[in-house]
Amino acid sequence: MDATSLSDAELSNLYGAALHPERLDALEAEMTPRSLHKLDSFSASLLKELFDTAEQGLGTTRFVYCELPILWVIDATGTLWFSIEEIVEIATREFSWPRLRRTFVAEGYEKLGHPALIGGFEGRIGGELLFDNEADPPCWYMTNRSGRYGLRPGRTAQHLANAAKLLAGYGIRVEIFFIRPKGTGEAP
Amino acid sequence: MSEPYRLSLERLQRLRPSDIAKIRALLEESGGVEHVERVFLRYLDHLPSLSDLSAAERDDLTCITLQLREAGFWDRAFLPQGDLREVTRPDVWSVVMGALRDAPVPATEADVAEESRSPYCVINVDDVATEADVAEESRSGRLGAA
Repeated sequence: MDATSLSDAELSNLYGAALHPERLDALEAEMTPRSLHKLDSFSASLLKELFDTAEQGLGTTRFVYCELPILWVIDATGTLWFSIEEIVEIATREFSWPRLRRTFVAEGYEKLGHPALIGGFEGRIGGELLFDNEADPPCWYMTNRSGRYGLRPGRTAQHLANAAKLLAGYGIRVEIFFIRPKGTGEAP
Repeated sequence: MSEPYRLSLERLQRLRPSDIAKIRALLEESGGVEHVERVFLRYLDHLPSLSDLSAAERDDLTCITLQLREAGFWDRAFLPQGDLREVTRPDVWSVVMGALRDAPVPATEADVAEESRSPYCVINVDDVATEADVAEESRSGRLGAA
């Protein structure tokens, strides 16, 4: 059975409700990241090789993916998408460079964040995949660190665990790090 | 003997799971809470926007606030919310408080237990099967109970 054959209620139970992003940057609805993949047997096999390479100790992989996260998000149909966070030049729409975590985006450029992975549409839980060099032992983490999909009220650790099971179904082992979502109340 | 962990401003902006575990330990040390507070206030001072925060800055500040909560910082900080309000701009204070206030209660007792323990949750790949199994388990109500 394919996840996309599940009802909306079943998918919401697994991965959280499909929510529109609270904010959409100008290019995120217009452009698709060049590095975007849908999780399937082909992309998962390549991703697994990348993960294995880091886990086995290749420093050039470890020290890139500890600070250059792979974004992931589950769309309304239950499909998991992943890409790096790409910086594009606004004038030309050309890919310029991958964005390191939380780094400043210069004027004239824009980042393609989580909404760009799914066309700016509704998404369920999302976050980052990163290799944590300082963990003991160093390992890949899957987090819900996406302000627009993963940290929305109602997201639970179980939603994240269910997302990790999609990877596990292809033999990709990650640890999960759940950040409790932001509150629903109005700040005074 | 290893050097004591100290949190840098640079690292605060890019917290990894291991950093959150280290901050949790740091908060138990003498002066640790004050150290993290100083770094957090330096981060606020370094926000690029001079007036209202940009949307991206709000997102980042929200994430950092929530990650520090996972480290137990807000339970330990001597900066009670009122004091934080005094030393930060209203727009900044609003984002921090908006992230922390009225956080939803996890849906199940299992969630509460899970979230009150270590931030780490290990997925044992041997215990899970395929996407199809996940879907099947969902139908039978064994997974994803909200």
